[in-house]
Amino acid sequence: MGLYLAAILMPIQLFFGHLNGDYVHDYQPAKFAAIEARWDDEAPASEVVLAWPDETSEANRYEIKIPVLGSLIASMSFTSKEIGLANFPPRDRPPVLIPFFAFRIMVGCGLLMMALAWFGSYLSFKNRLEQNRPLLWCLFLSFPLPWIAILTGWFTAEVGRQPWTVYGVLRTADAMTPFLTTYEASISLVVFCCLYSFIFGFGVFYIHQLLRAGPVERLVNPPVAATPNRPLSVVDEHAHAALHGPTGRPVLLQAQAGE
Amino acid sequence: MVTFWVTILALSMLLYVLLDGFDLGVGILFGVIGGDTERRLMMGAVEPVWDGNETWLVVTAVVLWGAFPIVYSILLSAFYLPLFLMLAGLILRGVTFEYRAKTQGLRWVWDAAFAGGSLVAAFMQGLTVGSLVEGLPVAGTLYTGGAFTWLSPFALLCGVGLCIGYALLGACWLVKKCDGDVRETAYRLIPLLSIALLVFLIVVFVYALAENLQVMHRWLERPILFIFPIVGALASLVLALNVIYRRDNTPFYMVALIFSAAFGTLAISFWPYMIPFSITIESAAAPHSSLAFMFWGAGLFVFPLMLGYTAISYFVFHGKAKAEGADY
Repeated sequence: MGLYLAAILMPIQLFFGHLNGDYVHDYQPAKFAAIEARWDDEAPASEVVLAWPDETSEANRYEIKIPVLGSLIASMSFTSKEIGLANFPPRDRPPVLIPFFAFRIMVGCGLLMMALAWFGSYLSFKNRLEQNRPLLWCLFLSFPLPWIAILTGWFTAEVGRQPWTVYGVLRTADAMTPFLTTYEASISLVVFCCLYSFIFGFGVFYIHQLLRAGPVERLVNPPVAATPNRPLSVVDEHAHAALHGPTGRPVLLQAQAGE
Repeated sequence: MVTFWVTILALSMLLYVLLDGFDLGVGILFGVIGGDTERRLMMGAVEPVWDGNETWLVVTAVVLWGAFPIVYSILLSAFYLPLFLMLAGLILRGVTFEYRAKTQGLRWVWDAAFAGGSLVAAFMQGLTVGSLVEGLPVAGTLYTGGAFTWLSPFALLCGVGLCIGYALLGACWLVKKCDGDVRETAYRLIPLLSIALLVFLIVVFVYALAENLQVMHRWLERPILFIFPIVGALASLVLALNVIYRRDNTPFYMVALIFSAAFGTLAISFWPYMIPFSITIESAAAPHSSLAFMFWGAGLFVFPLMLGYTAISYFVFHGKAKAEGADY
């Protein structure tokens, strides 16, 4: 159920992400250039897949790039000229490293989730999901991916719009509380970090306990009308196969008898 | 338009003080009333509504942000540390609702978090109001004080006072929502808390006279303001009678009336200032176009919708709370 939903929602999410990218392209060109690690104007523009952007030399080291793809992503064209960071005076540029890598981690998480959801849905459709242990492990281990994607997306958006609080109008340095010193800001940061670590620490512990305890109630509630000696007679074939242990008795009933 | 948004702001603040006031008060009393069954019953009495109550704090902040941005920026700058501690307190007490039932041995941690978080949040709110009454250093539209300008005996006194007031509101809520030992203990606490609140009010009054605060002059200039203290006094009288005759429902409404009277006294004695005595409502308001834009969405639809669902949630969860089957 969750897999099917993810399989449908992931492409929609990526599509909306792309629309959001178009918006950034039109209204926050410096952020867009930083995300793409594009230093100089290019026509048609290439897409930097991976690189180490170096802000002092205003160039990318170790870059792997695909020609023309940059124009295609940014403007849906094979020839468009895309703006580079060199168009902006250094004081109006965002830092490049954080938006560049955060954006790639976010998109990577998205693509990975989509791949897992599609492959899992395919197997589930073929009734082979429960037999595929490596995929089940991958699905289990993929639970932090959405959080990572959200956080890195946040980094991209917030670091990428620097040095502005209100884009092009108000600089972050001018928006700050006048008296706020590093000392006071770090007090609040440290206290919030401690508070969240405390809460999340306990949260993880309690989730772990819940997972260890397993589901408490019966997975399938037979309707009242079902005869007691055939509690699973109403359940379809697949659930029947999944719920029965090697002895042929329902797994849940075995567990109850064992208690 | 400005009048509309001032009304919305005042209404949201009053609702916040009354609604979150009682559940913070229940949190404060959590430290006083012992026993696990009692505490579960107390949590049950606020559990369905507490987070709804706190949305009114968000509404207040958002209305300030959208309609009175200058006040928002001054307040958040001036009260950076108190407000951040208030948020930390609210986070700690909020998470208790989820975590408390999940443990036996460490339950005291969450009891302490609930009581402590509520106490800190209430104290910081009182402190903020007290410090605001004393006045903030403002030049033009900018706050010019430091990180600890709010720290004064009067502000600390107001912090303690609001804790007592919220505890009283909480005790009346427990009388209304609970049975058995909790109700009895709450009934015993109401007179004590009322007397403490009265003492606090007298101390504030004397302090204000001694310090010659500007607010004092305004009260003396406008005798009509005394209608609010009179309403408060009458409500106290009815409260005392109802506590003596143990009518469970009325005390809460009487204390709510006392709070409203206090709120009215405060609001009207500052009128037309928002930051006393430097920023007026007119000068703090956002441009007409912003106010009108928000009016057609947030003002006309979202606000009535919120009032509606708040009313519905209180109607659905009316009557006494029960401890059985509760999961907190």
